[in-house]
Amino acid sequence: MPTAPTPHPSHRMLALATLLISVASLACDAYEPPCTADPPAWVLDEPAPTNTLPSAMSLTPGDRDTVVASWLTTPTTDASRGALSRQTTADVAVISVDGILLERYSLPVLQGWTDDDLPQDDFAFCFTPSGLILRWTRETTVSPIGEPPRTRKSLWVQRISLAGQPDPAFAPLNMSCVDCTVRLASACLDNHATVLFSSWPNDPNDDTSDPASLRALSWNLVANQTTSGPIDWLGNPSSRSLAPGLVADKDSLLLFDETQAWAVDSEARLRGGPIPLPVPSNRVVRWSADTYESLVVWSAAAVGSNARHDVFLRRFDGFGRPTMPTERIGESSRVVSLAWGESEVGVVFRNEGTDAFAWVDENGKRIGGDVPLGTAPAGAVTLGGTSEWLHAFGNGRFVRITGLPRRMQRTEIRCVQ
Amino acid sequence: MCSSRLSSAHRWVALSRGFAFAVSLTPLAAASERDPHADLVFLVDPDLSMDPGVRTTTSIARTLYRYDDALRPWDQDQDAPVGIAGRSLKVLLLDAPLASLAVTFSHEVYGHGARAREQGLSPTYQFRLVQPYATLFGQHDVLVGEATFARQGQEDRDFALVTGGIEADYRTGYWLTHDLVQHGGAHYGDMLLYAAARLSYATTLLSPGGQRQPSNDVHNYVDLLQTRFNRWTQEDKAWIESRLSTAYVWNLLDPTLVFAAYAVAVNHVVHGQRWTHAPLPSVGDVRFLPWSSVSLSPFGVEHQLDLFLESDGVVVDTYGRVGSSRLASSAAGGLRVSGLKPTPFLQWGAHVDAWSQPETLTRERNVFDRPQRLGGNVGTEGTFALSPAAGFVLAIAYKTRGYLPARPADSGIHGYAGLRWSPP
Repeated sequence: MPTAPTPHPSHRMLALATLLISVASLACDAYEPPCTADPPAWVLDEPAPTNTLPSAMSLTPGDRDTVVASWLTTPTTDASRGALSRQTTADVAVISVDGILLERYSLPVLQGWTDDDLPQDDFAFCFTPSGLILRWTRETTVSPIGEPPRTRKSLWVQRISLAGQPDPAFAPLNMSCVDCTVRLASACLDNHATVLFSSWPNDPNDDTSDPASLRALSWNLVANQTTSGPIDWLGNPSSRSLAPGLVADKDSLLLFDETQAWAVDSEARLRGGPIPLPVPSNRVVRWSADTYESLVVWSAAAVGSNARHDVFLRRFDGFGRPTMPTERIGESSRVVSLAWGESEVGVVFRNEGTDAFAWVDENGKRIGGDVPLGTAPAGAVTLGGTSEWLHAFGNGRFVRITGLPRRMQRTEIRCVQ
Repeated sequence: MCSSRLSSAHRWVALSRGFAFAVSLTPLAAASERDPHADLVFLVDPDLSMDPGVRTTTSIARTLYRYDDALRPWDQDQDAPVGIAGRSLKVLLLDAPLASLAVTFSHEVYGHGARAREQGLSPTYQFRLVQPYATLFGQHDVLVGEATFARQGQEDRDFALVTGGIEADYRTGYWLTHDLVQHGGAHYGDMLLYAAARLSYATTLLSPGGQRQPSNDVHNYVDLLQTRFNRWTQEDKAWIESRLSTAYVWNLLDPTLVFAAYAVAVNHVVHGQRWTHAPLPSVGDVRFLPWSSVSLSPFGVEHQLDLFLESDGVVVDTYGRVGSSRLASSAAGGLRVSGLKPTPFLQWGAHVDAWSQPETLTRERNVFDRPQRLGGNVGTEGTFALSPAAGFVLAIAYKTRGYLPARPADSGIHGYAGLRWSPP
């Protein structure tokens, strides 16, 4: 009786293996990235006027979940690169984190000045709802003719209304020094402007020079009142590297030097800190007035490697004491921005011109991998200043605002665990 | 057919006397009626990938070792001191450098290079003098060979690039062992190749925390493990290095390494034999060989134990592999059958591999915790006879995405074609 041909045992083995592999492949869930980023959307996209040079680009948090982009525009025919002219304008764009352009200003800031007297030294400005606040230093000779020259450096401030009308410039009391070097730092938050005046003698051995000092000017723009005085809780600087800086955070100001940061109010009164800073640059600090905590994210050489840089994160209490171990959250040589929500953190970092977002839980543990955000905005690195802001809505929703003069983009990032 | 071989018990007793006494031993097997020639295979695929590449390189090296046949007329007085001295010099100046060159070539071009080509990169290579010529000519570069390519900054891709060289070395060792079992012995050149391949980076693997300048593949592997699993502290690094060096000892518990030392140092150098029959234990007509190896996987070191079985030219290799790094859980197993002759004009083989391992991600970066995935690879290889000594080789396989030594990381069909030649 004829029998059906039986398959070779190895054929059976192959068939079984193929079946098993197919079933196994289908049965397992593949990795699904928890975060997705929408394509960037233009919030502001204006044609650049010809023959102008933008500078001092800055993106800072405004009130009511807004972001303020500001920059200076100077005609290249009037000024050499980097210098200001009477035609210089300050441009401001206020946008909501939802991506709506709320306000747009282009204000002449140096009209009425003579060419020889333009405020070039330490010039900077910031935006408040009450107008632009300009600050600079001016040097005057205080020694009589025939005696060794002695100079006084003074802080000057001025408000430009949002209609473009300048208030008279003035030099606040006690914000000057003789034969000294000065470094200014300033920030605006809500309707207050704060300026730090750090000074130290040009010659430490010259007893006739004013001693080193650190003073703060606070200008309440609604009440139009200024207060000034020394910052007693912080030592006086003796060099440029020791003079503190000042940045506006979401609901407080952050004063910092190379090794520490402090949360302060608009009158430079201490709210929290000192927050230890592991590296002198390439770090971002956030302060939460609600929880009285701070968060620091920084990039530093990887342990045991000079070639690679890692990104680390650590949280501190109100007195700067760590409340968690240092956590490594990625690999990058540059931290770009940081957003701190209720129980989550978003970080944007940059590797060779390409940006990526990292979602981190409140304990510093990464959730998912890097979320590609594309190449960094052209010129974002060379223009200086802060050119982006990351906002946390909560529940895994983040918005990234990137800014260049006249061009701003918004990217929404959604994360689901 | 095995009349010239010693019994299993005698073979193991002989081996157990050790290398120190080996020079005084009677040769295990003089040249038999037929020397255990392995087939030569010359294989290509569009990507010049690893598995066909290392087999082809081994075959080229075997062909080059045939220069030694021309020396036989002058090497008749085999045990005489002058013969021993001559062969020692020959091994030192020709045979060992040739093995080193072949393994280095395979390491760079079909190891790092194959993994780079797999990722669409265009690697370049640099080769320098091998020992002892490097010392003789004052070349003090540490690296004999170097493949240059752009690292991708993506962990799983970088793992493949960094470990590809050692992977190719171990794959060379695998095929030499396979052929050793299939043919019952090996040429001393094969065993030099085997030792060079299996002991690749042995000193660094035994002490990965030592001198790191210049850093080599093993150091880069440790760095990648730290990055991949976010174990970034010095303590983590020391822990990973410690586990790596401990796990590597498994690679040295290899009876074939002892056999290689005997075949070269005793049977060839001292006794003048070109071929050495392997003292494989047997049960009935089935000879077998356990074979231990490690693989530097993206999840840390995996220990592999193969059991080769051979009967009448048919080799069945079944293996299990398990990770011991404690960084992640991984295990694998598989079966390879080769040398089947269902028809006179066809030599056929097949293989199947299956694994459970953390998912391989070739696009994402910094995903520290990943889901566990099952995967597999199944394939077949056939040689179609063109003449009694030559055949056309065709191999095809399908693999799901995941780590499998010497096979592409991504999913899809892979294979190669080429020629097989059975030398007389």
